[in-house]
Amino acid sequence: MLPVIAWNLISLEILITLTLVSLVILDILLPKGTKNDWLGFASFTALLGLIVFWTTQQSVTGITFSGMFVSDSLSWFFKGFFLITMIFIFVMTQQFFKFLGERRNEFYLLLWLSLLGMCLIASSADFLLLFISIEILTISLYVMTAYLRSDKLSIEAGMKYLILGALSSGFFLYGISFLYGITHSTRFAAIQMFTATHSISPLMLFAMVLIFAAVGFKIVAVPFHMWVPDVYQGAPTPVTALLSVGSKAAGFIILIRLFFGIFGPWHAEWSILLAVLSAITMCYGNLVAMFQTNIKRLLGYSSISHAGYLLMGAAAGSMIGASAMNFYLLGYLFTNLAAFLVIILFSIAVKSDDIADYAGLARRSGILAGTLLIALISLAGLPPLAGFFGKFALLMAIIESGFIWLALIAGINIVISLYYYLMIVKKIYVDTPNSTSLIAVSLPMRLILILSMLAIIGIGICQGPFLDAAIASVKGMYLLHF
Amino acid sequence: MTLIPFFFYLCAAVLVLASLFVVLARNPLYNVLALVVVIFCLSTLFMLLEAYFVGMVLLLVYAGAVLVFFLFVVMCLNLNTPSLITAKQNRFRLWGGLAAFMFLAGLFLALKSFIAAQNLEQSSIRGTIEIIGKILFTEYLLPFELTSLLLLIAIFGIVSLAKGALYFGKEESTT
Repeated sequence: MLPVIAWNLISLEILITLTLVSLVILDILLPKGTKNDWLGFASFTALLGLIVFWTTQQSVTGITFSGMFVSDSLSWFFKGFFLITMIFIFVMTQQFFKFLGERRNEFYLLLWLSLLGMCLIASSADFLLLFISIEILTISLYVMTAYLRSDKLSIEAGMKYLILGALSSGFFLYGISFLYGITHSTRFAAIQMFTATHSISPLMLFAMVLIFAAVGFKIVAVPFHMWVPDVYQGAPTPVTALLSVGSKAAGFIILIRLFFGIFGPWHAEWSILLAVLSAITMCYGNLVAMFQTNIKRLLGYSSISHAGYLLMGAAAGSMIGASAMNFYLLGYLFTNLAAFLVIILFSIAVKSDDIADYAGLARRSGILAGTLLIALISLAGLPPLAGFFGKFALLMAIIESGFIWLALIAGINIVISLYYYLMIVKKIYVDTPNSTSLIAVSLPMRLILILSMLAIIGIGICQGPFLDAAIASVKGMYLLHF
Repeated sequence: MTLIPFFFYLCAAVLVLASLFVVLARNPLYNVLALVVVIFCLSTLFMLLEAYFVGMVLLLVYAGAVLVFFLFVVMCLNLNTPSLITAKQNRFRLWGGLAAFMFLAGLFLALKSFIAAQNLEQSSIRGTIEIIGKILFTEYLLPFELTSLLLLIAIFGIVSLAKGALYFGKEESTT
């Protein structure tokens, strides 16, 4: 007996796969050694088309593939998120990998596969499918991390990411096997039925902690953060950007589906656990970030601290908490990707990622300095930018849930983070440059930098529609408990 | 029927010992051979669960193909580097031991509370090829098809990481 499949629910993933296949064929048919970057151009156009298609999909909701694949408001929101992230990543790749020649083409294909993995994670409603989607994302990231194979740092980063990633996959599977043993199912719906009618047992808690370990690896929460500094520094910068935004958001969507969905009924047990982890994560990230001299490493630690802030929303365990997380991630997308775009353009011109070399950037390129300024003070959370309102919403959610102590710790951390973000701003605008040569930025790049600046400021000033979108994404979530 | 628990405990004990040997043995050749024993025990465990197909595939693919490759690679590379063996790793041993102890303690506490499912019915499903094939192509269609993409990633990864000559420092320096 064949199951009935609603193909329209999975249409975006099918289109992504079709694009991937046609790009493979294009790669084979095109003459070798052409200077033109056809694959990059085709990828970019296809992505724009997919975004247009995505906007028509909001009302397409339901579950299919015998309850494994779900299309709901949350998956719709995050698929858009991933598509926009990918636009940036493709632009970065085109700039960053000019010197790679033919090897660049496989990189585009791997990017498409990671996009597919992320979209499938957003739609998984079954642990088996979730595991395979995570592996599609992570394995393509392993390869991309080690892509600069003549660079020692890149190889080291790839190796570290591979070993720790495999360990976290092991934890995840072990946790799932316990869950399956207890509930006799891997479907989210069946597991939620179990959690709603049973109280938590030590074995369930153990399974939950194991699964959280794997999610914590993705969202870079302490103590699963070991890989972050080296991998962020060693990986090609577009991959670092993808890790810090795409992979992290994929982790948070799993977190929302698990903790606001299937483990929702046990909210009282896990919220304190997440609150403590959130506090440790943000303190660690911010304190260590102060002493960094490499900007990619610094953004790695800053990424850890932002995972800490975002975990506050999860610890709040309320609708507002989840919506605040989604809103924060939306602001974080433009902010972080704008910063990484500047880092890439700077490193192509100056061949350095040292913070010391950023001295006097304002006198060498106004647009790079301006974008980095906006991005950094949005990351620090100064009004009226996107980061400010995101932090405000998270703090509001956590105070409403009664974790006043956590809100205080977050406040102290925001002040600490101001120090190191503003140190860079001071370097850019006040210090004297090492060299006075101007850094040229091409017109399309200028356009993208300006657009991302406008997005950061726009989300900060008129939060209304974005906040509504974030709330709507949580409200229509499949199996929402709160 | 009474023999099944006996075989289970036998296999489980050998499995744990062989796994320890995989990690602790100094000679890479012994590591791989111990891994073969691990696969044999695992396969027997699957057979005891009446998952015949999975047990056979494990044996054929891992013990038969993958580990033989491993052995070839180990023998070709002649990996007997003394620097790896004499390196001081006391700090890692301490933290690793501590983490392992905490994990085992947690596992022990968790398992102590586990109440085995009451009068679990003997499952009527046997792990034969026919049944597995049916389930894979109906209920688990999507994950099954997606594993093909995992293989695609592996191909891309290997091709792109191995393609072309490798010049350290020159080929890909940012120019």
